[in-house]
Amino acid sequence: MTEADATNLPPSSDDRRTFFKKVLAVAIGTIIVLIPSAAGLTVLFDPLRRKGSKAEFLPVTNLDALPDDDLPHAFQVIADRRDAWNLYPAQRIGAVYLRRNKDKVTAFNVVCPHLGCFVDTATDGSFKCPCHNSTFTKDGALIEGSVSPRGLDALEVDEAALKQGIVKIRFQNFQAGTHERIPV
Amino acid sequence: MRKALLDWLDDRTGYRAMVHSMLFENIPGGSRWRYVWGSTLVFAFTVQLITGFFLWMSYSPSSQTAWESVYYIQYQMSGGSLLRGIHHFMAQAMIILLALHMLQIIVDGAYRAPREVNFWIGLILLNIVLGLSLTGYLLPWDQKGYWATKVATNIMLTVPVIGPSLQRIVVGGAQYGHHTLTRFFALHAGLLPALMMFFIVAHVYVFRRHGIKFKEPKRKPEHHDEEGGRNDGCEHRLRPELGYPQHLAASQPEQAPVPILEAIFHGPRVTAKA
Repeated sequence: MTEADATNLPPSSDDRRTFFKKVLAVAIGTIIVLIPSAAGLTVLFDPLRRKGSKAEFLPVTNLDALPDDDLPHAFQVIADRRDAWNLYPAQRIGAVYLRRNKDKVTAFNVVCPHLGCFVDTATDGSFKCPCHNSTFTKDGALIEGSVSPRGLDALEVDEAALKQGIVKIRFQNFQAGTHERIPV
Repeated sequence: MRKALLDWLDDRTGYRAMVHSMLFENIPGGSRWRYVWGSTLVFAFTVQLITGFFLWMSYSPSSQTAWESVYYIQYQMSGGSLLRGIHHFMAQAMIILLALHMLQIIVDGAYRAPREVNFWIGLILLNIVLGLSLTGYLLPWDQKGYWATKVATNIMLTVPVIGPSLQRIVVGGAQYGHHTLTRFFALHAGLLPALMMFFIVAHVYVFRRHGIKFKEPKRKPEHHDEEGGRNDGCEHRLRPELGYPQHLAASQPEQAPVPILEAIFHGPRVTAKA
């Protein structure tokens, strides 16, 4: 473009050119920032996408090893544990209280539904959490005055296996601090 | 010869002016011990950056190797226990210095106009330091760090609506494991130090804009300066070129501003001697 042409251009053409440059700068900047951020945030939110499959029955102990005294006894739960790219065989993934009354077995998760401490037992079979003094009856019900939002989390016992003398529990952890039982 | 070299460097970079403006700060009324705490925090952070970097060169952020790598640093690398010790105890010291700094700001009223925004930047820095403490505590992957983090992230669960999702993102899944450690490490060594540096620069820049909020002088009824007004430490009286705060809606500083706003921002008036 010659100088004469440049001086003959009306001012609005320069404004349009400047406007276009600004738009281009903003657009390029936005693309440069948005694309890697979108990729990064997708990876960040990956744990939300992974929903655990329904927990299976896990063998915990034999019926013979469980005293028939209607009192809770603690047992470890051993299972394979997957952690991202590692599979660990036969890990201690939690613990349960098992209470046997002749042929009937009730199971509770040892974790307190308040904030996640392990609850203790008393001699009469009731439960008490050492952290914030929540107390539960032998059946896991919440005793008045406790800070826990719900009673102890009962776990399902495999009745078919029980008839064969093996205690299998559908072991699950539940969210702490909520009134509803929400499995994690 | 040396002077010639430095003159050349100054001509190319202008470093002398920059160093001078960084190091020399006008403090009306002279320097005081109560002003030093912000600088001590910068020193503490610098120490953490240095020790943190060298620890980073020896630490392995995986749930399989983290504890072992910290044990190795502590017991089997020369100077390892000293390096880790400095990093640990300086982190503790930083919390105390932070409390002292904040206390001084509150006691001296340095959060008031025109320094509100700087106070908010300071609050952001407070949160970043606490975040650094939380994320750093997990990294040795020992019993203490693991369970302390479990408590903190369980509290995160109680946030309404987004609590469970938030906890899942922070923990990297339903269970604590590899991804918890990698996420916490990325925060501790990457994002949080970067944010901290950015906000420290912003904090010092905005602070230098208004200057130090110096100690209020003792109030005696007969105390006044030559202009007949009160020397209450507000630069707007001493530095009229800054202009009077717009919100007091006075077109000229000599006009009486709205009394209640005046009381809020500059403290109660002492009757000046007529």
